[in-house]
Amino acid sequence: MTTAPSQFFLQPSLDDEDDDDNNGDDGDIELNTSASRSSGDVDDFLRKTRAIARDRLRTRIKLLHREISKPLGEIICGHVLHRLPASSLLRLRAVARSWAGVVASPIFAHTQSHTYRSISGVFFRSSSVTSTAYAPFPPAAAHSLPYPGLSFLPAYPVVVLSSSNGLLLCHAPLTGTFFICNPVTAAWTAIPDPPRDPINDPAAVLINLPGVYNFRPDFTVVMVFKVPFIGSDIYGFQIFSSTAGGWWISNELCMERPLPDSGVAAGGVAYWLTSTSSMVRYDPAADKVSYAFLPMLHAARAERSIGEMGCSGRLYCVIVTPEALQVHRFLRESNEWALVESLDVIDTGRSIFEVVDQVDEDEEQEEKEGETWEVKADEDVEQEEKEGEAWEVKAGGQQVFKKQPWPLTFQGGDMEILLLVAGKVVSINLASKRVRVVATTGGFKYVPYTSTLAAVLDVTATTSTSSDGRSKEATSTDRATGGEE
Amino acid sequence: MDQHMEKIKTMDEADWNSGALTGVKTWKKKDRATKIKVVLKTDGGQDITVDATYGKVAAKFGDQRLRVLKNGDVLAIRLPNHIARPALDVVVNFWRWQQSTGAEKSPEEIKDFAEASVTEVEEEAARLDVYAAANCMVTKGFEDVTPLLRAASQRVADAMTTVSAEQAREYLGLVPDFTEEEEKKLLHDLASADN
Repeated sequence: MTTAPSQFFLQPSLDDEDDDDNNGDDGDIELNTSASRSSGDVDDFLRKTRAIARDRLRTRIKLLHREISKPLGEIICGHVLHRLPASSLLRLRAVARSWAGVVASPIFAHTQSHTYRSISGVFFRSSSVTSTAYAPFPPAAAHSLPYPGLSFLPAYPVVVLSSSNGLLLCHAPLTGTFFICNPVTAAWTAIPDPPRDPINDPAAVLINLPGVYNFRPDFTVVMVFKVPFIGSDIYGFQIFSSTAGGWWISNELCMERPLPDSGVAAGGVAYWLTSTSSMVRYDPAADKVSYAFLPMLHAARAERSIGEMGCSGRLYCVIVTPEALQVHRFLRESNEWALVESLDVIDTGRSIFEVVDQVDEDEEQEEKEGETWEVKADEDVEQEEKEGEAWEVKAGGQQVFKKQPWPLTFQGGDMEILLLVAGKVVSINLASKRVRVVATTGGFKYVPYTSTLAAVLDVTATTSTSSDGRSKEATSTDRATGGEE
Repeated sequence: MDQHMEKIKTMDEADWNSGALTGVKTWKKKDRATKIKVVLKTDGGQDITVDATYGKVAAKFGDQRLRVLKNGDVLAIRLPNHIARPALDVVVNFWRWQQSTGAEKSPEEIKDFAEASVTEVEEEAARLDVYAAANCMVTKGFEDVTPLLRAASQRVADAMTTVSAEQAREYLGLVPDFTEEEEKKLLHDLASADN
């Protein structure tokens, strides 16, 4: 009872709207004409408040009806487009002007870059060491790139060192220049030369976190260099930050050599496998190095790769042994690993190499068994034939690889791992068990790529470099520079 | 003012709500657990009745009809003409599953059930209808249908990855409305690519 007056006088709430029906009876106050002047003020206040609430209600109902009556094209434009890969969006912007406007919007590009996180394809080096190629996963119409050879960059040839959420870190070996680019939009920027000469095959990781609140498309590059003491096997880290606009050298050192092809970013931290079957992680925000042992350390003939999966930026390790294929999740707090998934790659009691022999002896039977695999693979007949050669499914649904799979680095928002099998890159989604295959004959040094509209921050105006600490704060323009078309 | 304050202090809640003082009726905040029946009226006249609680059918748009509902009352909601009945069945089944078991399920299980509900619909066109129906229901306040809307959105997106602009236009009934200059620039951008 004592609360009612406060609601009535001080807080014109929605309750006041209930009186606003359409029969014209607004509950007008009928007071004695001899009511005091203060009563009239109250009535006036009530009348105004009710009018405001009435207008508010009408607006809400209009919005509701408009929302429900929207044509399907408009609903799709607002709710579906940001779930598509960038390559499809470039094609679909020709549907209508409104769609082109939405796709061109920086807000949409930001939304799409942190919504679409599936691996679109892989960049790899072909037999000629200095050239780079790109293989899209099927369907090619959704994942192909307008510039797969990165011909829009001013230097050629280039090699792709690292990829992170739609951006690539590229290196031109002939000129020694490093670039950050988006191969879908052909936007690129050159970053200054690192202060320390990186080792021949640069071990570098690009970190691009397209968070919901990260509207400015900042990125970080972590590059390893060998500390220049004769006979030393000590490595340091040099970091380029788009926020700082320059390079700085970490005070931390690494006693083990990070393997160049194994680098990946997860949750803003750079990870590498080392030559001693361990893992080194470097956090540029904290300027801290730490080490962790890999899972199944004593497993014989085990091949490992690391990568990021899921939306929370967690690191996973894929281990392939002659007995099984396992996926482990890294627990940062305890520096340990937790088994997430285990796929039996061979029949019980047989090594994977025996399976290879069996394939050679009885290829026809295994081709027939390959047809019974119930997976959500692409319907391309040619692809299905290739899949049947690379692996099969025994009775009971057990997946068996005919050739030893080699785990590759992976990165994406889906629970997806990459394997190299007989010259083909196989993507397996651990949640849906969807398998995609693309052939990369003669390829090596694979870098997974996600097709997004991520913007490229122009850092060419900032060339400050410090050799003994963080660089000075420098300004940088927030526009993406376009390459040659 | 003092006379009014005195009168207000002595009023009981029933008098207050009845508008005895000023003729202004005020409603109590509706109990969110009030059980009601919602009738979804479609254009074909085949209505669907679902059980709901007031709290689940959000009154965020200030639909005043919801304010007077008591236990067992029936609320009729008319849906737009383009909502197909089979699609509405899928949405309503999901809604009913959510009401009966959703509270015990984890978000992953709800997501899996939503994806399974959409996957059961075989035709792409029918999935598009499910998407439209789910969007309509969420807009109307059935927020528990949101996981189904997300699953349907993703399936629609998966189907759209390979369609051409002409196919999308034809299916959605859109008309290209570019100026000559804009169209020229678009074609130039597409043609200048390596592929």
